[in-house]
Amino acid sequence: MNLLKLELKKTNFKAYIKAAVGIFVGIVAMEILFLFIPKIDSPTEMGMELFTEWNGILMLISVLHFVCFGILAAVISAKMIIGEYSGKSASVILCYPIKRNKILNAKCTAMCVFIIISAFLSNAATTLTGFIVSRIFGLDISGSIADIAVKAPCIGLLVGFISSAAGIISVTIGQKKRSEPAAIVSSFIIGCVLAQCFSAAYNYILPVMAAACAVIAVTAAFVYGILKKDIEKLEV
Amino acid sequence: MEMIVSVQNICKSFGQSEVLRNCSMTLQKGEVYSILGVNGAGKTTLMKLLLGLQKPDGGSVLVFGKNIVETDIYLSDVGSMIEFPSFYEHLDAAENLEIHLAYLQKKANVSEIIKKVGLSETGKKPVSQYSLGMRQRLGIARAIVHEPKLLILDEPMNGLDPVAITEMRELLLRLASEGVTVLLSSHIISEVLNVSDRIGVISGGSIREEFSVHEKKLEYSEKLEEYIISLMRGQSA
Repeated sequence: MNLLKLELKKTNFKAYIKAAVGIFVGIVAMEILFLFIPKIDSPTEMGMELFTEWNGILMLISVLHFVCFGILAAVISAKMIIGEYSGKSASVILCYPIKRNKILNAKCTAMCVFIIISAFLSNAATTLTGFIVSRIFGLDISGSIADIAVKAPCIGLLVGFISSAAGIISVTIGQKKRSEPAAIVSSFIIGCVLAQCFSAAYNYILPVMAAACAVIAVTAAFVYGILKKDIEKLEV
Repeated sequence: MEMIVSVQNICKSFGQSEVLRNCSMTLQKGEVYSILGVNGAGKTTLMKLLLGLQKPDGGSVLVFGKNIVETDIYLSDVGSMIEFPSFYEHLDAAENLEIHLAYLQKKANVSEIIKKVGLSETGKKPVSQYSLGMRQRLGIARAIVHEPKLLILDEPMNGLDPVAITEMRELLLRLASEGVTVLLSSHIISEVLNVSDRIGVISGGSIREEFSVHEKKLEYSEKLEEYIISLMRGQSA
């Protein structure tokens, strides 16, 4: 029996795929706006380097991806974990002769795989779209294309990992409070804090994101242990 | 007779509130045992303890001879429906049952069970479009699809029309004749009297009185319901 396949069957991922597409469309629209800002304002104004360099554009879209997919990760895991382990559905899922941790592991794996893949694809597609738009409209964005071509997929993966780790941390907070909204609000707060860190270091976005990924992954692993214990002892 | 369930002096409290106090009961193989009691008497709590959904504060619970605190393997031979059942709303009846069977690692003819509970006309309709009665029928289907040896049903007749209640009665009697042990709770005393071999009345946190329905019917005749209600109120016999 493949518990991961069962989670994919039970969960209505169509709605989340639509959400991921919606995030992509929204961020592409923001990216196009960012690309045209130097045309509207003077390119020599203070702070304008964020919109005239590919590093800046990449940082902006990556931060937006991280915040949006972090919230999406919290929404998915809140529904899959807090939603199923509370109320009437708990008396079904907890009545199987399977270790509770195995089912929990499958749920978190399903969420993480979905978020990592969709964040990576969305980030890559957004970067490519921005490049195509800049070429079509002759926008002068400085920076090495080869450098961005290497950075973008790496950052896309890191965004996926950080978002899913943020989802795990958020859902643990939500499970402790027995509240799905608490999980979503927690992910928003985590997203805002980390977004500030990333935006302050946009010239070093890749190493900063890699370091943040390592820290948040360790935190998520520790917090996951708390979630496991909570589910193990759960009484309904 | 083989003892399927043995509950000895279990206690369960929620904060300051003691719901079960030295509660004991046994279930024999193939019998239909009904628990009656007022709201909040502890019927659902007792059933949840048997299913491992809650842990007793004291006492012991053996199901199929095994202490349920030490193992959960017995759950593969137990079917249950606690309160109003919940399902995966975007899936249809067959898909919900297939997922249930997958978790139990058992196989069964899902279409036959759906037909047995009168849901064959629902087709591919998602559960989100089901009425209360249809959900109740699907809950029963999920409880029996894997041919359990023990069935634990909390208010299974909720939301059912009179025809469905009759079908439920017939189903429970047929299952009992096939050796399935049934533990159920209900507020419809007349139906409980029609379907049960024994009744246990919970009052004050423990089984106040247990009796054979057949014997009590001979003793009390038409006044049996009154007698049961007085027991539920905690009055002396």
